[in-house]
Amino acid sequence: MIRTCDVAIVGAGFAGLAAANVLARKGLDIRVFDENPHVGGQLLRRPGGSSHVPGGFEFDGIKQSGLRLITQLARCGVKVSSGTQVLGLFPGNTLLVEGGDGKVSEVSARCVLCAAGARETYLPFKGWTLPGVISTGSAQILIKSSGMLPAKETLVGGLGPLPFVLAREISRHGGKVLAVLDYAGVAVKIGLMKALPRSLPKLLDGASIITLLTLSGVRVRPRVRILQARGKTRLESVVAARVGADGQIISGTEFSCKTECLAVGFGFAPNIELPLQAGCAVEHLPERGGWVVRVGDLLETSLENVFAAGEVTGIAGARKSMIEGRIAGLAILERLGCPVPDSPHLLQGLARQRLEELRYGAILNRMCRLPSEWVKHIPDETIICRCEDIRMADIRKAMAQGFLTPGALRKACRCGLGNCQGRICSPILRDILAAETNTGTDRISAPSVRPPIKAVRLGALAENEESVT
Amino acid sequence: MRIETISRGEQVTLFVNGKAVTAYRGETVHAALLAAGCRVLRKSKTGAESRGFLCGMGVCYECLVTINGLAGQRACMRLVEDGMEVQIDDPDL
Repeated sequence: MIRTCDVAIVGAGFAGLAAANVLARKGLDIRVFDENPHVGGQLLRRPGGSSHVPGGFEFDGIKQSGLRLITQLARCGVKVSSGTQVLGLFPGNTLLVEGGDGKVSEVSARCVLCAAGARETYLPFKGWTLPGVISTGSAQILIKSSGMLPAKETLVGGLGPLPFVLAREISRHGGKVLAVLDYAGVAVKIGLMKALPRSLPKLLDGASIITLLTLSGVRVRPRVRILQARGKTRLESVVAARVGADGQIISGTEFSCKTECLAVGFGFAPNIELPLQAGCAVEHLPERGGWVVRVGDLLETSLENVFAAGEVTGIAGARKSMIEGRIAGLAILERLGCPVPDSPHLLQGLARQRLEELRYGAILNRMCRLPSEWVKHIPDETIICRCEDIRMADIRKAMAQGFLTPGALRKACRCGLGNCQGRICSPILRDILAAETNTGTDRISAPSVRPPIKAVRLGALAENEESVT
Repeated sequence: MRIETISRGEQVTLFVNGKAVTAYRGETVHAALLAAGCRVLRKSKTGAESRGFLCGMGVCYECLVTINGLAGQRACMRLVEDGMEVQIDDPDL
């Protein structure tokens, strides 16, 4: 039996929560699905799902706004199905859903909103698969959700603001940060931020983080690239070197640092798998963080009654996600024939705010853009596809044989065919292909995605088939 | 390494490869394993390498463990429960 509802929202982060709040109390049957144990997405992670988000003072107060969305939604009686995976979206707006109990069922909605957020991207280096090498987001999650430091002493590195935010979080909780290895330079960040008319709160947040880090004795090393993680069965030390302004490694500057944990972050990629599998048009926009779902002003995708909001339409942070959630909520209300009286006025204001946040996002994404040079320095033995143990040498060999698209490489050497379905390696692979074929990343085709878009027990799928027929 | 200043939920006991490990309600399985010193969670597909968690948010599937007899579970997406049995593939354990 296929259940029906008015609106199905996929993802309960800022965008999904904001949309659900707009849609609540209108007499509509709303379903919200989220994969995580608790609502709130990545930013609002908190111990045991409590009502307090740990974290220092922030000038723009975004987390407080997010928490209000959660409490208001609970008050409206809208229940979020946590621990639930959406496996696919099919014609007739039917979602295939795996519940927390491991059972698969189908839900058909008049409108679907995809608000699946983003994930981190990586720059692979020798040994990055060693236990102890984790993502910056992962370290944040340990602190925020489980009240745990990733290690006694942590080395932090990467690009963009996240390594700095993490270093501050670790030292604030009494952990030791061995150093922050910044691929870019601090001056680059400030230079980029200055371009913003209304960047003051974010600039202040950034400046306070760097000041507090320096005061607590954390060493920030700009223009350093991580070359290798060493260890037998787990991380023991990290080798890095200085890079020039062009991203080239300066020989003779290599140094090593003993550590059992290295947290790395190199930016974000939108989680576009669900809309892509459903057949929504996508586009490659570097200023939005790469491949994003194509949406109109009211955030409708190329498929009728399928909307997208938040990081899936472009990486720009929580505020943009919240604004887009509201826009999508209002647009869906209109579509379902119950518009809010002052909707046009509200939408006008939201559109303006959205543009501002997109401008901030463009700067964030530029901060996290890697110099195209980086690909050339990946040693042959470096693993690219972690799921299938595919090394750079395997990819170079396949490319030499003429396999020059992500799809062809997948067939030639299984790169991207593992459990994560290419979520980790496909952004890396596109950079490699672009560099090796001397084309822009926009010319490398978007990944193809087939259902189920998340790993699921075959038995659970079969049980659903039996109950349908 | 648990942060002392953060208040915790009720104490529970996990069994990691049969060995009792203390954790607290609200913690994820991968965090509880980390606190118990288990960084290596499994072997890579070809068996050539050791792996532990990477993304912590259900994307990378590196932290797959067996929970209560069911293989291939993401340790980062599951909260600990009292009496939960977890199997990991750490040669040092």
